[in-house]
Amino acid sequence: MSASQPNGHKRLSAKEVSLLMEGGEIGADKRAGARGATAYFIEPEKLQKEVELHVCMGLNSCKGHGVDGTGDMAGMGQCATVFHVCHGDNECRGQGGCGYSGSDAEQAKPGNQECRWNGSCASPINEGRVHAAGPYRGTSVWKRARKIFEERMYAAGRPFGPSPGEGFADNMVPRYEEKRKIPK
Amino acid sequence: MATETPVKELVPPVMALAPVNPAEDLDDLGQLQNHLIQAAYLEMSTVPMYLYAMFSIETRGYSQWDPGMGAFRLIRSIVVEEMLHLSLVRNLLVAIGGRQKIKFYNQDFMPKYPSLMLHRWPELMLHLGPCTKKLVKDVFMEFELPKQDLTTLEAVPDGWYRTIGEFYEGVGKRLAALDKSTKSAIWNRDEAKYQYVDAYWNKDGGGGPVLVHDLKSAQDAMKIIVEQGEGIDPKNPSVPINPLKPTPGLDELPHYTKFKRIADGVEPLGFVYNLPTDPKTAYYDEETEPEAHSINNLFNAAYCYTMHMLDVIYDTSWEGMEANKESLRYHLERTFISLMQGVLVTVAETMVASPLNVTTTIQQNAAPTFEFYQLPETEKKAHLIKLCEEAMHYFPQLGGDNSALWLLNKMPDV
Repeated sequence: MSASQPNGHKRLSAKEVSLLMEGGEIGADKRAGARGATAYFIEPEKLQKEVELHVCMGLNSCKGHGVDGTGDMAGMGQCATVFHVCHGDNECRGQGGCGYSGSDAEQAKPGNQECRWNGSCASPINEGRVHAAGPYRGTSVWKRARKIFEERMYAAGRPFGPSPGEGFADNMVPRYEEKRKIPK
Repeated sequence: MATETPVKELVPPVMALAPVNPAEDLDDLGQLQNHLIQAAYLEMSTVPMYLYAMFSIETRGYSQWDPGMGAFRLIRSIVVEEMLHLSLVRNLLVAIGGRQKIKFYNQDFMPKYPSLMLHRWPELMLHLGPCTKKLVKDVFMEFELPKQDLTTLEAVPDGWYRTIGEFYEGVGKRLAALDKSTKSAIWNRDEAKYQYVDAYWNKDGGGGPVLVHDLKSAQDAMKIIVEQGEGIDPKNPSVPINPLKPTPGLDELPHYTKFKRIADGVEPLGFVYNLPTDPKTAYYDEETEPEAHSINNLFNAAYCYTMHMLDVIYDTSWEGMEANKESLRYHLERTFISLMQGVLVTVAETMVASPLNVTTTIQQNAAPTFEFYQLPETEKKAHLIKLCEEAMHYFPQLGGDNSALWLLNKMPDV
């Protein structure tokens, strides 16, 4: 139900926003009807764990596209859904972390690369990571990635919510780190 | 021939604290440890000197065609490799049981300028100065010189090698001799977990940390240091990006050749800030230069905290570090890099763009003095934040979201 505000205006409830965005049952029918290639439909989530690959928290462009299905709406998901170690390791567009190495241009667009292998640095982006070079040198890589994400959302006309944080905790060891060993 | 004597005041204290004797038995462990302590100083002495020159380059933009971009990048790639060499030397020291013998955050270890370059005779005076082709040719190229002209030999003072080439050759021989005489018992594997073995990037250079645990890995570490610095052969002015795995086509220039490109004007410098030569904290008087005084204190404190963080890293084991778990060691490894990239560079760049109040006819700007700063025993982070807030009175750009202050708040307090 809509809630009244002190100024007399009404604020839409989450259900009403969802109805507006997704069209409710009629919208669902229309989307189902728009699929012409196959006679049946399987939710993408049932075919693959991650439905969207992005480099950190607060960068999911749809509801439930954060890691482990988190994110009540765009921009609210927890953590990265793509993990890789270093410069040039991104397997597809938009999957580079940035900050430690790379050219000025590469470093300027975390999470927004044009292509595979032209990203700069590891994913997820840790909180204290700052750009080593380029126009944003010395400033937060995650904040830059979020800014690019927000610009993309504005351009697409998609509403988004606040991020649960500003990057992967600096004291947490990411899952791409292998156990260090002393050779025999 | 009479033995020469260097001017005592200009000889770095490390020469007396960890004396070396080139003639001493090759399998004397104490001598090898002292050699490595001096090697660490030698590598460290390049870092402020090269950074100071690099920060002085004003004409920097974010286009590959901006004048000065090439020179700036070349120097940056060299400094990053010098930092790598510093960690490799410390790893070597840890590997032979000398972990407790060195602290970077130490008044006697941190280089002062002007001072004499270690193991270079005739003397070479090192300075902090704005980047000029002359400085690069007369000091930086001389520092990285592959081979000295043997016709100009003079007697070398006691405890000195003639060149760093001879010095590192001596280190290599001592490593091999001790490995042999101790039947490889020299390698302290229990301490290997303290070595710096991860987290290294260099866009315009190469190499990487080496875990030193036997003679082969020690020689690998030495190979990186020697090849990247002086190069293998003066007639062949390129070295593999990864000296341990040479790949045709993946080459970079050794430091000497990189500097030569600047000295020859191949890499133009463009505009260079007029900065003082060998500045000291006293140069920025609190009364007449309160702006420079406050921001220089912040710079020196953050510089010293970086050194201190490295010391803590070498006292914190990475054993037991696991994915998806918290780790102090990992925290330190990530954040000391951020401190350099996000605080030190930001503060230095703010300084060099700030005119001093009292200057002669030619406008001079402030610049970091790279001096020892006594940090408090506890609450070092709070102290850094306080210094930053003081500097923000004159340089508000150091505060606010996504700033040097913001990043200082992210630092671990160790």
